[in-house]
Amino acid sequence: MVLYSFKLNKKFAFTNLFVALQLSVALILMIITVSSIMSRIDDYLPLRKVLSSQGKCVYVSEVNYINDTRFSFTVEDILNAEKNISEIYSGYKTPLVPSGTENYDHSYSYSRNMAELYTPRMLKGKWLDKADKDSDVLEVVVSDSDNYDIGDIISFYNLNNEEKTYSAKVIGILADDAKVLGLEGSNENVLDFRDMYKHMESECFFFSSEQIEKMRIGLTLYGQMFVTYKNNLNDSELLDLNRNLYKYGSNLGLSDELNINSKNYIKEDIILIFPIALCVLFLVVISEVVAVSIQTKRELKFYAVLNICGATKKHCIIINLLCSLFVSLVGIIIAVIFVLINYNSLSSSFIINFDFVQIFVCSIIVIMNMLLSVIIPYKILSKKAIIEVLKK
Amino acid sequence: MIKLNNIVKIYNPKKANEFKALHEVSCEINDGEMIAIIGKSGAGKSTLLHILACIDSYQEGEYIIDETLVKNLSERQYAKIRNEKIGMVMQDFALVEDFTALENVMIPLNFSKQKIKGKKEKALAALKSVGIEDLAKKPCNKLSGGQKQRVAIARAIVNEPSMILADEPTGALDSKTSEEIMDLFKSLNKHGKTIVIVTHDPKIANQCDRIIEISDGRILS
Ligand SMILES: Nc1ncnc2c1ncn2[C@@H]1O[C@H](COP(=O)(O)OP(=O)(O)O)[C@@H](O)[C@H]1O
Ligand SMILES: [Mg+2]
Repeated sequence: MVLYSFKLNKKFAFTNLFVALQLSVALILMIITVSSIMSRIDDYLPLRKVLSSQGKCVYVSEVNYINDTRFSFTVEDILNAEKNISEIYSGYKTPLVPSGTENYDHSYSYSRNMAELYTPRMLKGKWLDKADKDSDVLEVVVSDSDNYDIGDIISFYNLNNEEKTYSAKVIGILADDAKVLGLEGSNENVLDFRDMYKHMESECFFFSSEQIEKMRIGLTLYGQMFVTYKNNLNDSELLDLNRNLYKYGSNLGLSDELNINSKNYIKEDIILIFPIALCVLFLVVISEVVAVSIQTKRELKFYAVLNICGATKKHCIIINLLCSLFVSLVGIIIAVIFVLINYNSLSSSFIINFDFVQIFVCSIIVIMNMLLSVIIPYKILSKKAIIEVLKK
Repeated sequence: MIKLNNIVKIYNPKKANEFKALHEVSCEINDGEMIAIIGKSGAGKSTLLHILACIDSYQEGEYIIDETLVKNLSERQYAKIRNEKIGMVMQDFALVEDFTALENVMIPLNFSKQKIKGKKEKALAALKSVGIEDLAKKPCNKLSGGQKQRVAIARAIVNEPSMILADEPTGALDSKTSEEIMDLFKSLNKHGKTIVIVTHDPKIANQCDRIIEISDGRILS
């Protein structure tokens, strides 16, 4: 039967190639739409926990001046002053500068909980959340893949004390298109989760805050700081805390507002893309119905001949199914090749990811195809006795 | 041994275009007989043959083949009978045109319930017995009518059925080729096969042991 389906495929190679192509186009479209939905959700998910708890997002600028005096806060300062804060997630700047350069202002760090919230897209190696807390050498993640590789040792000096130099081992390299969380260097309106990520334009260095603290290099709160409140605060405590947080930087918004905005943005996106996905699905069904009907009808005489030689209807349907299976396989292969090519070369032209959700959606399309290529031949072959085909 | 008892065949039963093609047809065919079924066009010859071949159903009566009652069987059982007990030859050959002769002859072997060893050799032997083993690799659409009918006969006998049913096997052939095909049937009959040939050509019918004449769905003799 495999042989017979193969022969059928050969006979209809041309039409079947188009059926395969349309399937692959459908799969690719689905992968792209699902990927674009997922990519947005992917940016939201790390922040969901933070944004769903009561709290606030505060933009802390590196340097604060009160009465012309330069000063900065530490997380401990804030936690000591505000007893109703539950947790603080924050980025830092560190005064480390690569030796022999004047590349100031590009060394960052994260509080551990912030580093754990979001892992940027890595080219190689690991992110800070996997850094060794007790390491005696500094570990660094770099954004520049041209000049550094995993295991390289980079030498830094301390901007506040140029005598002091440190060696840091490269443990990770960010992908070219990586975004990092919370280091947005401005205090413009932050509306939803999109505004909390930033592409790093220049060469940047990310250190583990534990290691920096251990070596007493110095950390300055910097960028978007997420503050979560303790549960069960009464109204006046809430009001106080909300107001007090203005002391530490410009307030970007309450977590609930940001959360609602974020969810709305995702919903908008899904509402836009979902009908497209449905249409694709619909087109796949229609063209599959047409293709399978035409093929079955064209091959009725073939099935009639098999029938007088001792084949049952089931045999014929299996042959038809194997035929479609083969065509689907070709379609899947074309789609996979496209996805792979895209991964390797045009990675920025489409958002393409291949995850469980994409596999799931594609499986649904393929299974639907398979079902149709069983149901339709069954309907057609059941409509009348096969012998009627031979009478004409 | 085949027995038909009061077979009634109605096309499109209980519909406006209902048509009774066979009226209480009864007859017996013994093993090893060579029988002609004759009658005018539309008399019901093909209908009867299709029932004998288990490719069509009937409404009333009984059809018994080698002590098996062929009635209300499952599709698989019908297919098994077609595959093992019956070889079918049609007027328009009913070949898969883009298959080779050999591939056509192998079809019944591929749908056999038994494990068959040496399918290809068996098919080649069948082609040899109809005298065209040298055409085995040729696609059927490149064969002449006579050659096609030989392929069809090879396919009908490859599974060694006891009975061969032929519906106007010479209808599309010239008289010389018809003679050759008839000779083939006669030699198969000599080797013990039961042969039933539907025809409206008296010359063909007269070469058979017995003639059954049908008119308007009834057996006359
Ligand atoms: N599928 C069908 N539906 C309705 N009538 C049919 C069908 N097949 C055959 N008939 C009718 O049954 C009668 C017998 O047909 P058939 O057995 O093919 O005759 P023939 O003796 O020429 O082979 C004819 O009158 C034909 O019109
Ligand atoms: Mg007829």
